[in-house]
Amino acid sequence: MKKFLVLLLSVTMLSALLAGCGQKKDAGSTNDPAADPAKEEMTELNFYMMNSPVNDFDRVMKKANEIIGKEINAKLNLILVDSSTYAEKMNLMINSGDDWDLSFTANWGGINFFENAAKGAYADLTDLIPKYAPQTYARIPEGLWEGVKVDGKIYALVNYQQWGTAKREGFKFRSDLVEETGFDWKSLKGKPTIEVLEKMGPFLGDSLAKHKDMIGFETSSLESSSLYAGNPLLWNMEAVGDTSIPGWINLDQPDKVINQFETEEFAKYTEIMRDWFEKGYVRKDGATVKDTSPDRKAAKFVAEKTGSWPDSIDHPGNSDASNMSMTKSAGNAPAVTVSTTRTMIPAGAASTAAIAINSESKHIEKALQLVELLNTNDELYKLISLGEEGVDYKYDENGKFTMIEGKYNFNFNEWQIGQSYSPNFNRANYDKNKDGEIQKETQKIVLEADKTAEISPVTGFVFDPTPVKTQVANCASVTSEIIPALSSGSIDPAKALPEFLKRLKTAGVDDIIKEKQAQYDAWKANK
Amino acid sequence: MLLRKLHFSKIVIHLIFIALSLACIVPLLLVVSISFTGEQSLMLNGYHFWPQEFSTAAYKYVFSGASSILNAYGVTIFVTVVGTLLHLLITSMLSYSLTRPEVTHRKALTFFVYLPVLFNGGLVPQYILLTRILHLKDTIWVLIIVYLVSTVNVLIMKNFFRTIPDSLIESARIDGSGEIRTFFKIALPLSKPSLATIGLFVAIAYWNDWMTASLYIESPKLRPLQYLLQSLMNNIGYLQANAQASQSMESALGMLPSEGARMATCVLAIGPIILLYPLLQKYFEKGLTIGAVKE
Amino acid sequence: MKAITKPSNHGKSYRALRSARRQAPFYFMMAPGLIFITILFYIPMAGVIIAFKDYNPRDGIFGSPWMDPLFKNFEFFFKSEAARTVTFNTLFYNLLEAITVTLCALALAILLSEVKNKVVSATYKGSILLPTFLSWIVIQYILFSMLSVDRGIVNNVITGNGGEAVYWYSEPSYWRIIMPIAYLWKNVGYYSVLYVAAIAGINPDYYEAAQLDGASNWQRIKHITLPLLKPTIIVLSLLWVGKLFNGGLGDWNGFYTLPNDSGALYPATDVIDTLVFRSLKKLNDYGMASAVGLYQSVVGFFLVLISNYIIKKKDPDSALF
Repeated sequence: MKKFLVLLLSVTMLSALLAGCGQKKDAGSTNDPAADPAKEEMTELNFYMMNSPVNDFDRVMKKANEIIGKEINAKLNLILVDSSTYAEKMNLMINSGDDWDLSFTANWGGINFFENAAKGAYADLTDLIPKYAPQTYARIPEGLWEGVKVDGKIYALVNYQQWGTAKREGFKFRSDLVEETGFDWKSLKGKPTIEVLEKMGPFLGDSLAKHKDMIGFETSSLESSSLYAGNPLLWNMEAVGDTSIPGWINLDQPDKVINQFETEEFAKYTEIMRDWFEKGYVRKDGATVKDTSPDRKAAKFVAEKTGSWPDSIDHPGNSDASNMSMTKSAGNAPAVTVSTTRTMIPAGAASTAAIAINSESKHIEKALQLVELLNTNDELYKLISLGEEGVDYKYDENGKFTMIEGKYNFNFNEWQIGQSYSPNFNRANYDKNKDGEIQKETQKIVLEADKTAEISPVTGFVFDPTPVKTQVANCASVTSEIIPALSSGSIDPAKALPEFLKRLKTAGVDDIIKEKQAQYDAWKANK
Repeated sequence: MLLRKLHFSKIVIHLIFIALSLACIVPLLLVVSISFTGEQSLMLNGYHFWPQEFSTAAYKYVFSGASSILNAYGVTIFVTVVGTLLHLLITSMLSYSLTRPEVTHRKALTFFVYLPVLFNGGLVPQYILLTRILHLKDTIWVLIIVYLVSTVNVLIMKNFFRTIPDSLIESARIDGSGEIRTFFKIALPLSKPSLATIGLFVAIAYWNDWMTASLYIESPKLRPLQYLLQSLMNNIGYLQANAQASQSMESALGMLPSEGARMATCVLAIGPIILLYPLLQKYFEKGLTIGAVKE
Repeated sequence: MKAITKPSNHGKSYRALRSARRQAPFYFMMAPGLIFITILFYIPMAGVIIAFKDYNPRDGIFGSPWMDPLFKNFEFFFKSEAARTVTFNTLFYNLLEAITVTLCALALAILLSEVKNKVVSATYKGSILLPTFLSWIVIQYILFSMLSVDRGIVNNVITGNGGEAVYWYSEPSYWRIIMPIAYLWKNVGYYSVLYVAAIAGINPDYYEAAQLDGASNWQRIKHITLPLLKPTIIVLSLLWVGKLFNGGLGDWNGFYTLPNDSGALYPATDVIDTLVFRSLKKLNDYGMASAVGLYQSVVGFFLVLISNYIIKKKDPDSALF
């Protein structure tokens, strides 16, 4: 009895002690200012983003906070959340009313920017941005702010990137094989995707005949990687609301919401993929391969879809356009790129990467000042995204940017914490040599295009799935099962496509289209 | 004749176990082999039980990507040890009491213990409870508290305690031992095998848990090992699925040594916990025979 | 402790007081467990009403408006065309798993207790326990390195012997066997060791007596070991009955992870939980998710009550409550 009491007592004491320690530590970190305490009390801002663990994080953040403390008398507490649970964690925090100040937000990966904005989770920044973050606001194409609006109010700060937001899709081909087979890739410029695929077929056949161990074209088990379902622009279409929820428009008839799987293009596309499957141009198990990076790194693909532009016709020398994906550092797969679609800023472009502020935060103005500082103070931004020069990275004798192994490494996630764009291009890790100059040139073309590119007719429209969420959920389970199979040719569309459409109908796809159309019409009428 | 038959059945038993053991060990050897194979060889030659091209690059990558790995081992070990001991203490006291006939409401209490197996409120209420009511967010205790009691283990352990003969408890009582003393002096020592078994599984649960950390832990110093390793690897899949979001994601993908590193993280994560079994082995045997206690 | 504060159940007689005094130490020992169960499980249980709510964070769990109609969150699952398939799959795999795991674990545990050499027996136990240590993700890596079409070990062997590569991840029918084997592989060690512990708890006097009577091995197993293991078997079975409508008897992650997101396999590998998870991943709708969870719980609850009732009739001692 005595022994037990002693045990119980000591366990309780130990718990209390350790819990106390934990709290004390919390309290300690809140007022652990590097700057002088004479000034007004320093504000601590919690900024959530997704990132893997970062080496030497404390060292760099301490340096960063010296700058932030000096400039705006605040302390940035950057909280790194694992990418696979980030969306879940943020939604839990929002839905349970937890404290946070800033967070990375987006329209993809379940982070649900629009839904959360509509729910009132994010602060309305419409009037505050020009006041507290004037440069952030003024620097970027004005149309982009439309993309983070819900009901006419701005709910996030766009992380405008050096590579621009206007999209133009196209295809990449192995340049050595193009030469070998004499494929006239330049003629594909600006052609509709069906035509491109039809012309590409024979080239794949010729190349594979000579290189048996290669793969013609990439296919994957992920719905979002489907050449059709994940890439509306390639088909001259645009998603109304979330890409994965049925209901797109044709850009030539932008008033009518259609079921994108009931189109002639989709039927034709599935036939072509089936043909390629039977001829062996795509992997036989393409519908079931989730991770295609081993094939990419092994330089196995003859052709692939690409989003990087300007292409090899408009701007020869662009290094992104002249290597197959994931081979840039190995250099084992030279490529040529041709863009085939129009140049457009899609509706989701602005909300691809943005920063939101908690509507319940006590420091909304300070948070805005912090974003402004991150966006305008190049030294601070580079410190967080790259580390310290000479310690974490260096430029070698050829001026090539190299990271020092085992040191600070932000895992290439800098696009979440601000605009990598700056008018004088000194925020990114461009090489200090000719390559770097070419890269800057390329970016200039892209950024110039942003100013003139057409803006998607759907920009600013937000679809509220609540009235049809049963149907959305049921359609999602059908598409995630069938789309990869149809997109990789592993099932015969003659039989599978009608069946798929019937299953979608049973799942209630027509209700969704109708609801989207109604909301879309109402929104246009109000515009 | 009889002897030979006996011998034969023994051989069969051993053969069965050798086959089963191999079926369990060999796949793990595959993991180890892949973790030591060069990335290029994996892509070209596929997977093999013996590295076709020996390389430690994967381990180098993991260690350079997570310099805080030692700290993470510390957190994990602390959580596993403290959590398992507390779990065993709480669970055994509860389940032992539930077997005692003196406790008049024991059936109702068992039902009370059982019901949460079926019904749970989901993540949102749990998050609210742990962060806003108990204020455990970003403390090491959140990692412990989530597995502190398992109703399933209470029910299983209850069965073990039932096999203790009543006469033993009764004679202790006659000797003037208090109930709590009886529990610690007689019931617990007799249940060593079951404590070791349950303890082992609780320890595995603590050791393998990374979800709790990813939802409730925010400071890098409190991150357990599994979280660190999972997170390192998760980036790859996530980047892949959302590569359209950013071009720098794409270039990131090209640089990550994915497959070998994935296996290396598995090896690093499983390694130490596997040693737990041999450590506990002696408790799995009948610690004290009932006769010994009687005397 | 409860007993001390309200001993009034039996009046204030001497007997009740004595009973309360006798119970007090037990309630003292139960207190931490009961308190933690209340806090950790019962308080959040209030969240099941989200299933009937149009949840929004501003109004919280209790303040959010009720769904209109009340059961609207349930519609999604019951209207889905896959509901029947996944319900069948869930029951099919659960029954298969419950039976195979129990039989194999019992058999192994009994065989293990026949291995007298301590070191050898420990080695066997340690080996068959290994898969229990692994998470489903690790098992998925292992499975993939064996079954991958072009790089997998199995296909290497097949093609090396002049055979045709098998597309494991495209053909659902293989997975009707692969999934149960995977679950058996992962879980059988755990339950064997559990049963070994239960056997270790058996009073050796029984065996000594049996030996004196000249009982054969089989008789010993049949008349001593199995009857004494019965309560453990019944408890585990009752726990599983409650989880009959939950994929993988509650541990559905295997069904989500092992097929590696291959849509072609869904007809054979989808269980209720994976279907729900995949359908709601993008919507992030807590109401619909908890509606399905509640449905699974309620069905499980009644199944448990019925089974417990039957067991109580036949063998009151083994019943759960």
